[in-house]
This record gives sequence, structure tokens and C-alpha cells, in this order.
Amino acid sequence: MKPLHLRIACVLLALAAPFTLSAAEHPAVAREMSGVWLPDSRRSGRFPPWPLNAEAKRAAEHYAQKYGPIDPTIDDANISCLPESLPYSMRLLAQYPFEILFTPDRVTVFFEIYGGVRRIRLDPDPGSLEVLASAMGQSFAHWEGDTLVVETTNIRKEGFGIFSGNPPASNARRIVERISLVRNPDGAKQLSNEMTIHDPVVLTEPVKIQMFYKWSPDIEVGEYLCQQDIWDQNVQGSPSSVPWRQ
Amino acid sequence: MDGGMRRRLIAAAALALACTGFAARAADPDISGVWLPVAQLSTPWPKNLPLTDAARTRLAAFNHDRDEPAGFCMPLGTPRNTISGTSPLEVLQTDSRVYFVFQPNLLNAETRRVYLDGRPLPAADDRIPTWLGTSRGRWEGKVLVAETIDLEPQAILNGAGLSHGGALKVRERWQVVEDAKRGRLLVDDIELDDPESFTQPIHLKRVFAWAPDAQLAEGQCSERLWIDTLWRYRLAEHAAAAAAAAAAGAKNAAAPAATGAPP
Repeated sequence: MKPLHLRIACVLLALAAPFTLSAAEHPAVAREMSGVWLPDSRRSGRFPPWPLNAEAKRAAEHYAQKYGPIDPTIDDANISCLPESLPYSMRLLAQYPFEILFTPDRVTVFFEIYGGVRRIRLDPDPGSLEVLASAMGQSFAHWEGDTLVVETTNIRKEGFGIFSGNPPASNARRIVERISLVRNPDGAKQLSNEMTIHDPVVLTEPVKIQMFYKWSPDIEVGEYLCQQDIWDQNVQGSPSSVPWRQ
Repeated sequence: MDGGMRRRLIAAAALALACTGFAARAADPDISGVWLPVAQLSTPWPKNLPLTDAARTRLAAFNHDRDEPAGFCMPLGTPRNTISGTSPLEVLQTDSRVYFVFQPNLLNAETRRVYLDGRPLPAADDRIPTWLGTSRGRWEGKVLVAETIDLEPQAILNGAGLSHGGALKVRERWQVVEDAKRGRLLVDDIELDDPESFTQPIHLKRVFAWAPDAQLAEGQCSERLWIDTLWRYRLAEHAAAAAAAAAAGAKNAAAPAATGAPP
């Protein structure tokens, strides 16, 4: 082990090296944000009532009249192992961690639930890639001081009620996240995500929510097999743990 | 050059030398990026597999409709995610880890995490089999040497149903080579060591070509399950309508055929 002052000098030298700075653009904060986080459900905000405009309200009422009531045994796509899309994927259930990995020009978020992968480009040039709408959408980020600002569009649109009561969304949905390091009242390291959801086609005004995530260095993101139940029925001939699948 | 200048130069050189242990990280080989498998350069499964009797019996009993996990949206698992298919591989690399992210066609993403930071394997009573396994790795020159254990024996190794036991060890040597014709290639030399299934280790080679313009898209195997779920109810409605129509003596009332089998 090298003496402390020498190690500090080495760290300073390495930090000063241009390749390190260009790699992550903000190496000190990126290093602090890298790792495994658990949602802090208690501290996180809740979605306010969705300010649907008149047309969206009419459409929702029409849907409820024609197809309602929503039957979660049929209508909830989560039951069929389809992951939730943004913004709901970032408003996670408390027990499911996610991991943030910084690599040059990229931030990747690995969710345990549904094994989701979210790719966020730090590359300032969006290029001309055409992509299909997806649950995680298409995200670009930049630094504003110590805050990582992530903007996401091209999010897969969900049908009414398919995800247990989520409001309708349009193709114009755009989500801005301001992600920064904070401390909770006990002084523990947390990540704050101030999210603004813009959707002028269905909302009268943007919806804001702030979420917190707890620093969890002692856990790893595990393997999540939503389809295990169906597979087990097949392999073991056992009845499903989901009542309506039996 | 005066004495002070010389001393500063010597100090800088000494610092640079002393720091080489730290700086070596920056000099680790770079295998990151998006890569596409090249079937022609990869080694196929040998014709005569060195199977034990137990493995031979399991292989003979394989029933694709019943035993193919991918038909149920389960993962391919390690090493099948690495040695099969035509879908791209994304390698994400830092100084302490290399992640291999696969997006198999019509399946969910699979992320293999290989830790290089020397962390110990989980304690014996904390080790459970997983489909992607538990991996540790290290750099040997330009080669990433990785070993993966604790692999779920319900996973299979190929579409023919070749199986493995819980003691399978996957030893890999990953490296980038320059090919005169094809440019940058990522080569994975793989050894499958499982005395319960193989009388001797099986060696395979998997080759990927660098594809800097490619990117992985999101795939959701479960959309098939979701559509199946919706279809079951719609088909039931069709069947009820057809039965009602048949009872009324109507013609051309056949319901569309149900396809419950996984693809």
C-alpha cells in the first residue's frame, strides 16, 4: 500500500488527466451516483390528481362506459409481465433496487423489477436514429452544475386503465428529470429525482413529482423472473400462485 | 537546467512511476461497445458431444414444446445467451466491472455482470443458482478471464435441449483482435466444465464484429404473453358468439383457432 500523501497525489494526477475528465464529463459526481439505489417510498412524493383536459376526460369516461369496469385479472398488463413505462418505472416499489452505471457518453440504469434496462445518452449529438416507442423511451442527458438533467421522449403509449388506473398518455409525452445527490434528514446519501411530465395533448398543465432513492452499497441488483410462475406450472405441473391462472 | 528544475522533473517522474499501479486501470484493454455475432467465425457445437449417460438420457427426453424455457419468456441463461443467436451484444466497461447486455430476439434483456474488483464469491450458504450465474473476472494482459458458477440447471445450452448440471463452470477468455478483413473482432474462447454432464470439457469459440453504429433496442418477450392473455378472452367471446350462431343455424360461424402453444 502506498503512503496516503502519495495516493492522494496519484488521485489528483489521474483526475487531472484529460481522458478521465472527458470520459464522464463530471467524474466526481458520476462516481458518487454510480451504484445501487433503493426507492425511499416514505420520503418520495405521490402523483397528484392528473389534470386531464376536457377531451382526455371525455375519452376516459367513454372508455370506462364501453369497457369498464376495469378487471385487474384481465386488464392489468403487469400480470402478464409487461413492465411499466416511464414515469412509473422510476417510481418503483420499495423492495426493488436499481443500479446506475456510468460509462463514457452513457448512463445505464439496470432495474431489478422486470430486468429492465434504461439507456441514457450523454452524447450531445442525438443523431438521426429512428427508434420505436418503448417503455423506457429515448433519453438524452446533460450536466447543469452537479445535476444530471435527463430528457425522455418516444415513450410507449399505454391504453386506458391497462396499468391499474394510470391516466391516458399521448405520443407527445416528454419527461424531464433533474437528478442530484442529496442527504436525507439523518445525513445518509440519497438521490433526488425531480420529475416533470409534459403532455400537452392530454394534460392542462405539467405534472411534477419528486422521488428519493436510498444509497444501498451492500446489495446487488438481483435476477427477476416475472415469468417464473408460468414456467413452474409447466415444469412442475403445479397450480399457479396467481388464482386466475389455475 | 538548474538544480531546482531537475529535482522537479525527477519528482514528477517518480510520481508517474509510483502511480503506474493506479494508471494501469486506464490502460485496461477496451472491449466496450456494441458487437454483432459472426456465425461463420464461431465454432459450432461438436458433432460428437462427450456426454455422460445422464446427460444423454436428458437430451433424448427433451421435448421442445414442454422444455424450452424461451417459449415461456424465461431467459436463455448463461452461457446460451453468449453462444447462440444473431442478436447484438452490448459491452459496458468500467475499471471494476464488465457488463455484457444481451437483447435476444423476442426475449427480455439479459445482463451478465462480471466483477473485476476482487470481491469474494458469496458464502456457501448464500449461493443460489441463477439463470445468469455468478461471475468473477480479471485482466491477464489483453485478455479478460472470467469464470461463472451457480448456474440454474433448468436452463439449457442450445435449442436442441443440451442440458447441464448445477456444478457447471463456464470459463471464458474475452479479447479484442484485429482482423485484416473484418476489422475489430471480439473473441470469446469458452470452456464448459461439468463432469456430471460431460466426460471432458467442451470448448467453443464465439466471435463478434464491432458495430459502432448499432444500438440495442428494447425487447419485451412478455408482449406475447400479454397478447395471449387478451386473445384468450377475445377467443372465448368469439367461441361463445360462434356457438350461439351455430345454435341459430347460421352458416360460416367458425371461430378462429386458438393457438395456446408458446411460439
